[in-house]
Amino acid sequence: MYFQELISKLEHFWQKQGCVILPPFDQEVGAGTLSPYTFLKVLGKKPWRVAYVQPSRRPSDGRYGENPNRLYMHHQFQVIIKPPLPNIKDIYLDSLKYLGLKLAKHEIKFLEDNWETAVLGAQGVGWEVRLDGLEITQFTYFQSAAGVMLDPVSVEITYGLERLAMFLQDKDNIFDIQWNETTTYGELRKNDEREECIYAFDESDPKLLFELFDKYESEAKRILEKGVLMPGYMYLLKCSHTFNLLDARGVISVNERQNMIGRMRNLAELSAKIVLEREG
Amino acid sequence: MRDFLFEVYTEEMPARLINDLAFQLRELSTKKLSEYKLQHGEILTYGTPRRLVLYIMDVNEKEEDSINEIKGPPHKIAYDEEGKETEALKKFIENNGLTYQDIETKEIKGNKYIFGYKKISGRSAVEILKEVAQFALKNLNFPRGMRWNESNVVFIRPIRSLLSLFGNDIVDIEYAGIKSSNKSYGFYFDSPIEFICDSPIDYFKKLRERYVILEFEERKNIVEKELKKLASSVSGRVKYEPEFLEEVVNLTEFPTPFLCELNLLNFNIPDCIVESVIKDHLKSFPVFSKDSSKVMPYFIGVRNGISDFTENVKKGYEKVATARLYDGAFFFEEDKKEKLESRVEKLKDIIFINGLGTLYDKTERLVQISEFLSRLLSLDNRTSSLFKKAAYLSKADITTQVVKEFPELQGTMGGIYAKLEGLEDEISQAIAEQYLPRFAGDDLPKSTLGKYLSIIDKLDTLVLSIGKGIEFTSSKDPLGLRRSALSIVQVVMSLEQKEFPITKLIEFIASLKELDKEKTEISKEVVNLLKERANYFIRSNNISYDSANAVTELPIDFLPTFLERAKTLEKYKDDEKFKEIVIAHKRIRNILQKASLNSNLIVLDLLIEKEEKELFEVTKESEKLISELIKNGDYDAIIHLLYLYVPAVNKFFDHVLVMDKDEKIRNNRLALLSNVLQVFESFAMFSEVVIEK
Repeated sequence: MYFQELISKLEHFWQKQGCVILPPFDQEVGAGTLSPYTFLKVLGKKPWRVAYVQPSRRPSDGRYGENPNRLYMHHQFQVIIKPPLPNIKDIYLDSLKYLGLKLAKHEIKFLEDNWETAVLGAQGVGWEVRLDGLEITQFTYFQSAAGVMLDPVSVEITYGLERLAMFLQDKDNIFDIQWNETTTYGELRKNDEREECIYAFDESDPKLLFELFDKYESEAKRILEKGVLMPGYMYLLKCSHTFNLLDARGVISVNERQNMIGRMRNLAELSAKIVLEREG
Repeated sequence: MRDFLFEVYTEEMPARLINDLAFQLRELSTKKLSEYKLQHGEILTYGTPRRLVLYIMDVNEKEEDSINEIKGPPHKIAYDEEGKETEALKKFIENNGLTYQDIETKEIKGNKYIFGYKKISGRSAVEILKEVAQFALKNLNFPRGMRWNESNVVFIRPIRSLLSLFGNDIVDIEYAGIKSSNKSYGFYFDSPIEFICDSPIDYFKKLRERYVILEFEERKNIVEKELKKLASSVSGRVKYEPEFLEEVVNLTEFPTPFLCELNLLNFNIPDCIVESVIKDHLKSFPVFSKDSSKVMPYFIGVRNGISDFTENVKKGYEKVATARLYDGAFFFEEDKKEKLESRVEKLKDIIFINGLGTLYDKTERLVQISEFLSRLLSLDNRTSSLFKKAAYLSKADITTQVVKEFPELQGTMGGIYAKLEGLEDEISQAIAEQYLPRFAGDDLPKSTLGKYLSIIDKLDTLVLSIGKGIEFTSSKDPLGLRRSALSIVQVVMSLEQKEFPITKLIEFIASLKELDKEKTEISKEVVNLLKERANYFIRSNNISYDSANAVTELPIDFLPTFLERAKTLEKYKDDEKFKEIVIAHKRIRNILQKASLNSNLIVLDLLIEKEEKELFEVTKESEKLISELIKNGDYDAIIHLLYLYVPAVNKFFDHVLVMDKDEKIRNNRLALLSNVLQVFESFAMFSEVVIEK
C-alpha cells in the first residue's frame, strides 16, 4: 500500500465513522494534539469527531535525513472522538483490518503509555499500540487540557504514518517508502529533512529566535486578551515552534526553559478560557 | 449452595499493576464478606490485561438468621403492683416491633430487667454479593485512574462489560453506568466475539476455549518453561528479575514465547545497550552465553496470542530490534566524539530536583564532598584525586544521546565512555557503580571508590530533599528517598572499615546549600531515616526487632558494623550471662537518668571501697580491650569479655551505695558508672534486648 493510499484509506475509514475530514492545519506544530482541531475542540461539552493528517515538526528528533528511522518532520494521522464510543477500541482495530492487516497473523499489544504536555497543561491516559513489536499508534483518553478536567473526555488516536507504511511495505528505511508507484518518500522529503536540520542545528540565529518568541508571545497575549481566539492561538503555535527550534540548538537554559513553558502555558489557558466562555 | 462469579472486563490494564489489583480484589471482598454471616467457601481472584475476576465458591443462599437482644425497662416499671403490663412496657414492645412472646425478664446485678429478643432474618446472598462486588470495585487502589464515559467514574482503565453469575442466575450489578450480564469475551484480537455463560464453571471452560488463560501462575509457568527451552536450544540461558517476568506475562492473556535472531554483525555496541533494547523497549528476554558473560545474538519475545503465524511476529520483532540497535550504535559513535570532561558544562541546563538547582550544582557539591571525605578518611593523594575526578565526571553521561535514549543506562554508559577515553579503571568503575544498588537484590558496588561515590551521591540527595522539606512516606515517595536511604545502608555495610563519618558528611552537605530547615533538624531527620532503614534491613536478615533496636540506637557512624553486631546479639541473647549484661546495663541507665551528672571524670582519691576501686581498674582495662576487639571485628570476644566484666559491676552494686550523703563521693561514683555505661554502649544498647525473666 502506497503512502498516499494509506492516508486516503484512513480518511475513508474514519469518514464512515462520522468524522469531519480536514486538511492538515497550516502551521508548524510538534504534534497533532497542538492543532486547534484537537486542543480547542476537546474543551467543553460539544461533541466532535474529526480526522486529519498532521505533519509534525520536532526539530530535536531530526538527523539530517541520514537515519533510517528518525525524522525532523513526520506525519501523524490524528483522530478525535468526543465523547468516546464504547466500542472505540474495536473500531480502531477495524481500521487496521481496513488497511488489509489480518490481525490473527500478527500480534497487537497495548502498552501503558500516559502523556503530559506542560505547554498545554494537558494530560492523557492510554497506550502505545505495538504491531509485531512496532509502535504504530498512540491511543489516549484525554483527561485534562489547559489544566481543566475535560467532561466529556475525548479519545485521541494518533497513527504514525511512516511506521505503518514501513510495516505495510516491508521497508527498513523511511526514505525507501513508496509514496506512490513512481515516487519514494526519500525523493520527496530527504533534501528538506537535511536542510531543516542544517537550519535547526547549525544555522539558526538564536538571538533572533529569542526575540521572535518574545514578540509572538506578546502579540498572542494582546489578541487573546481581547477575546480573539484563532489568531491568538496561532501565535501560540508560533511560540511553540520557535521554542522547539531553540531547544534543538541547545541554547535554552534550565530557568529559561521553565519560564518559556510557563509563558506558553499561560497562553494556552487564555485560549481555553475563551473557548469555554463562548460555550457559556 | 452456589458459586459466585464476577468479571470486570476492561481495556488493557497496566501490566505491572494487575497482580496487585487481583490481590486487592480478594482482600476487599474477604473484608466485606466478613461483615455478614454468609457462609461461603474459598475466595479466588484472577487478573489478565483485560479482566479482573472474583470467584467465591459454595456460597449459601441466605445469611444466617440471628437474634438481637434489646434491653428494656426495669421489671418494676414494666409491671405495676398487680403484675399488669404498664404503658412503658407497651411502648417498648411497640417501638421495637416485638410481641409479648419475644420478651423475657432477666436479672442483672440483683435488678430485674425486661429484655426483648428480635429475630433478624438473614439477607439473601444476592443482595450481599452485589454489595461485596460494588464495594471491591469502589475501593481498589491504583496510582493513576482515568475517566472514560459520562458516569465520570474513575477506574484504572475503561470498564467495558460486567459479568455476574450466582450459579445460573445473573446478579444485577451496576457500576460506572454499566449493567452486568452473563456475557463475556474471548481473546480480544482473534476471538473477541461475545459468548454467554450458563454458570461459573461454564465461564471458565468457554474462556479457555477462546484462548484466555485466566491464572497468572499458569501463564507464568508456560513462559518460564519455554524461555528455558528456547534459550538452551541455542546453548544460551536467560536471566531476569521476577518483576520483569511478571510484567511480560501480564501483557498477555495467552502467552507464546518465540525465539528471535539478532543481527549484531555490523554493530559495535556494548552489551548493556543490547539488553536495554530487548528488555525495556521490546519487553523481551535477551539470551546470554551459558556463563552469563555476554549477550548472544538471540532474544526471546512473548507473543500475546497463539503460535499460528508466529513467523510474522518474529520478523516484526527482529526488525524493531535492528532499528533500535542501529540507533543505539549511531548514538554510541556520536557520543564517543565528545569527552565527558567537556560535557560537564552542559549539566547547567539539566534540573537536578525542582527547586534544588541543576546537575551542575550537584556535580560541584559532589566534588567538594569527595574532597571532604578524602580528608576525613586520610586517603592517599592518588586515591583522593581519582575520587575527585570520578565525582566531577559522574553525571556527565546524562548529556549523552545513548542515556537520553536509554535512561536506565546512566552510570553504566558513563563508565564505558570513561574507559574508552583511557581514564583510570578506578574512575570508570566508580562512575559505572554509582547508582548501585538500583533495586532490592541488585548488586552492590565492588570498588572502594564506587562505594564512596554511591554513598555521597545518595546522601547529597537525601540531605537536600529533606532540607527542602520534600515530604515522603512509604506509599508516596516519587523521588525514591527511602530506597536511596536503604541503598546507603547496604553500601555502608559493605565497607571494610568499622566506622564511617556519616554524621560529619551530613553536616558538611547541609552547609553547602541554603536550605529551608535548620541544620540540626536536617541532620536529625536524615539520621533517623537511615537508622529506620538500617533497622528494617537488619530485620530482613532474620534478626529479631530487639536485637536490631539495640544496634540502631548506637551512633550512626557505626553503621558499617550494625548488622554484624546485631547478628552477635542474636547469637548470644539466650545465654544466662547475656541476660545479666542486659540487667546491669538497664540498672545503670536508670540510675544515671535520674541523676544529674556534670562530669564523668573520676577522682582516684575519692574511690574508697575495695569494690569500686576494682571496678575502676577493670573498667579502664575493658575499655581498652573492647576498642581493640571492635577494630578487629571480634564481636564474640567482646561478649565473652563482658561476661567476665559484669560480675565486677554486680559486686560493686552489692557492696557500694552509689547515692552517698557526701556529694563529692556520690558524684564520683556516678562518674564511675557513666564510664561503665560507656563500656557496654561501645558495643550495643543492651537494654533494648528483651529478656525473659
